[in-house]
Formats: sequence, C-alpha cells, structure tokens
Amino acid sequence: MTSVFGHGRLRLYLLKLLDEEPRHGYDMIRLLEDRFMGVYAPSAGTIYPRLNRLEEEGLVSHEVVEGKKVYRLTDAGRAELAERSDEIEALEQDIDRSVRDLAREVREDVRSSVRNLREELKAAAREVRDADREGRDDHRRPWDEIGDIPGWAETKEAMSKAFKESSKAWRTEWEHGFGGEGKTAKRVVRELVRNTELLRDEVRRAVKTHADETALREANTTIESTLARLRGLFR
Amino acid sequence: MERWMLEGPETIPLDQVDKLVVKLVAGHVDVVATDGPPRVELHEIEGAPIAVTDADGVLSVGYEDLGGVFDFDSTTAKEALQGLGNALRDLLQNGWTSETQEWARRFSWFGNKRRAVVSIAIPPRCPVRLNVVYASAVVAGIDGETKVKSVSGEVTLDSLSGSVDAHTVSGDLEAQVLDGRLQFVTVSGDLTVVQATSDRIQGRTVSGDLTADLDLATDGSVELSSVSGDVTVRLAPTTGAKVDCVSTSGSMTSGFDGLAREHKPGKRALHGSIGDASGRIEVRTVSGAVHLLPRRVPAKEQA
Repeated sequence: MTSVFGHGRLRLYLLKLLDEEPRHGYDMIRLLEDRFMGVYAPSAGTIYPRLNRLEEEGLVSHEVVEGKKVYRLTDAGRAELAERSDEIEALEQDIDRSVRDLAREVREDVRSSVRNLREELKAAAREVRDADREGRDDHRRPWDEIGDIPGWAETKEAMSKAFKESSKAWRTEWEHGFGGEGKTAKRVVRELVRNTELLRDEVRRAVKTHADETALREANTTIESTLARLRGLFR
Repeated sequence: MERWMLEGPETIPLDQVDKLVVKLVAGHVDVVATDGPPRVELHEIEGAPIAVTDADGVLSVGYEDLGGVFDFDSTTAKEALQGLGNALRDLLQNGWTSETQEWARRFSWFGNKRRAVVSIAIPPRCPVRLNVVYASAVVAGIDGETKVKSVSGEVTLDSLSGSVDAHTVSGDLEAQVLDGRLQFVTVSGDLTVVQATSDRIQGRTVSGDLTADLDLATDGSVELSSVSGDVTVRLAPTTGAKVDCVSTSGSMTSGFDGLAREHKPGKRALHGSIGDASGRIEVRTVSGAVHLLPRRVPAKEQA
C-alpha cells in the first residue's frame, strides 16, 4: 500500500523541494499547497518539526537571512535524494492521483494476489491429494468391512449440530446486524431456517431407515442441493 | 461540529480525524491511510445527498437516516417488519400520524436508489467502522481497528495492522498483508487472505470457501469452520502448531508429515502436531474439503 504521504514520504518530498533551491519553511508550505491543488494545506506544525529532524540527521542546514531561516540541502541530503530517486519518481506520480486512484490500485493488487493464491493452492492441493492417494488406498475400505457403522450417530449429530448452530448464529446476525434490511432479511432468514430443518429431517430419516452407504450419499446430495439453493438466494 | 451535505462531486478537506464511521447503501467506498491531510472525496452520487460530519474528530460519512438499519440492538427484523405493517395499516386508517412518519423515515431509504462512490483519506491510527448494504469497500493502510458490516458488498483489505472484524451475508472478503487479529463471519461469502501474519484468524461460513496463506505467529491460532465451503490453509513449512481438523464428509489433504488421519463413515479427521506445536490450527466442516498445505520455498531462494 502506498498512500501519498505514507512511510516518511513527506520527509522525502521536503528534501526534493530543497534540492530545487534553498527555501523558507513558509515557502515550502505554500509550494506543497500549490502542488496539491489546495487539497493539502500542511501546517507549520507539520513542516517545521520535520525540517528540524532533517537538520539533526545532517541532511539539511539553515542560515538566517533577513530574520528568516533559509533551509538548504547538505551533501548528505543530496546523496540520500540521489539514492532514492526511484521513490521520488513514484511519489511525484502519486501526487497527481486522487485517493480513488490509489484505492483502485490497491483493489487490483489484492485481486491479483488473491487470484494467484487460489490458483497456486488449487494446484498444490491436487498434487498433495494425488500423492496421498497412491500411498493410502487402505483408507478406501468397503463399507461392509467397517462393521458396526459407528459413523452414523456422529454424522447425525454433527450435521444437525452444525446446521442448528449456523442457522441460529445467522438468525442473530441478521436480526442484530442487518435487521432493517426488512423483507430481504426476513426472507433470507426464513429460507435458511426452513432449509436447515428440511435438511435435518432428511438426515434423520436417512439414518433411521437405511443405514447404508446409499443413505449417506443421499444425505450428502441433499445437503449439497440445499446449499446450492441457499447460495442461489444470496448470489 | 461541522456538517456538509453533498449532492454532487466534491472534496472536503479536514483538519483532524480520530475515528471514521461510514454508512452507505449502494456504490463504493475507499478508505486509505495518509500522513497528509484527511479528506473526503465524493465522486459519484445518485438519490439522497450524503452527509459528512466532523464532531470532535469523529468523521461520519453517509446517510444519517440509515442509523436504524445497522444499529438494531433491541428491535429484531421481525418486529421492524411488524412495525412497518402496523404503520401502513395506521396510515390507511388514521392518516399521517407522527408514528407513521417515524416509520416512513426509517424505511425511506429502502427501495430508493441511493448510490454513492466515496474516497476517504484518514490518518493510519484511526479506527474505521463501515456499514454498507450493497456497496463494495476498500480499506488500506490502517493501524486502528477496522469493523465492516456488509450485506452483499465485496470487501477488500490491504496492509492493515489493527484487528479486523467483518460480517457479510454474501459479500466476499479479500485481504492481503494483515497483521492484526481477523474475524470473518459470512453466510455465503468467500474469504481469501494472502500474506497474513495475524496472531489469530477466525472464519465462519455456511457455503463460502475459506482460503488463507499465512505465517502463523508463535502461539498464533487459526479457527475456521464451514458447512459446505472448502477450507484451504497454506503455512510456512517451518510452522509449529497443534492441528485438529474434523469433517463429516469433506475430503482431507495434508502436505505436512506426522499428522494422524481418521477416515470412516461420518468422520474424517487430521490430528497431531507440526513443528514445535506452539500454535493452533482448528478446522471444522460438514461437507467442505479441508486442505492443509506447506508453502513451497521459491526455486530461486533454494538455489
């Protein structure tokens, strides 16, 4: 992220102004105002402490002319500027842009990072999964070898708990967070709850009536289609 | 207190901002940190004017009558709707009363087209609070706490070192370079976090995908839960953490050695420790897949 005057850039810009010619502090305030089309009106309280610090660092020096301090760049200051010429260039470009342009760049930057990450991770997950499969076929035992089907009670419990929790949490979210959304809010909550209940019933029925692989598969299909319906609601 | 009503594109320069509150319906809002002067730029507007107020350093930007929309503490959606229904009935029977006016005021924004594109520059230390309905948002460079509530607007975050608390219904959250604690709660929005060094990341979703690439702090924690969304966490290969991933039917993949697997009907799990086990990684899903991946060191760094 690069805000126009983030990360010590104002300091750098002051050096640049002094590189052009020696100036009074007041001149520099006026110049900054001009260059920022009146949007940036730095106060004396912003500029003078920075000039003092630059002087302590040996980058600028001053002499008093007609009762006013005139600041000029030292050799060390010029060296620092030369070293950071790339930054100056970037800064000058930034100065011409509005907050909106900066934010747009941020957005594009984040978006491309996100896109890259997703692609990378998809590929990485596929690789790991393939490597896993080769060595772990024993995990894919047929159901009848498992015996007492210990998973069913857990399936039932986990699903109904997860859905109850998420549905409850979301009802609360909506009521407190987006309550005034009115119709949409109510419709979404109602749909969410109704679907959750449907799903829970479906799972219960599946577990009660036919505790076999088909039932689990059916339950999963139901979950997926329910969620697809939910997703359809929001997107 | 200073107050401006903006009806068209305009820039408002400000002296000092200690806190920012934004309330928008549709459109877009940028919040960018600056060492320079704080300011509000209104680029586009449709519908009602936007109010900008500066009350002792608290900068508010947006629709003032939207208060009730996001700050419903006691009134639930149901009560609000009933109230509206009553008010309408009242209007038909008794004409225009003060009660009807109150409801009309509260719901006047709903159904009206209210769209604005706003950019705001504030000092990095400011806490930020964004409440948007459909509007998308960008927040960058802020060190203060950031709180976002969005119904369907997409939220983009960059370089935040304060804590982030985001709630959306269907809005996605995309973020990079986060250093503070992150909490994201959504129904169907996706979460994607790149380059996070947060000490705590919490994500909860029904159907959104949760994806995070992070350097887990020593004793840092990651807690992600989803119903059907996939959860993918990529960590530095040297990460130390206790791992506890459980899913009902979601597939599990891990690129880390030394984790025990469970794979039986109704339960899949990945347990154990990686590295020095100082941090904690906890993932829960019903049908969502879980991927735990080590970040590969780039080829040029290996050489």
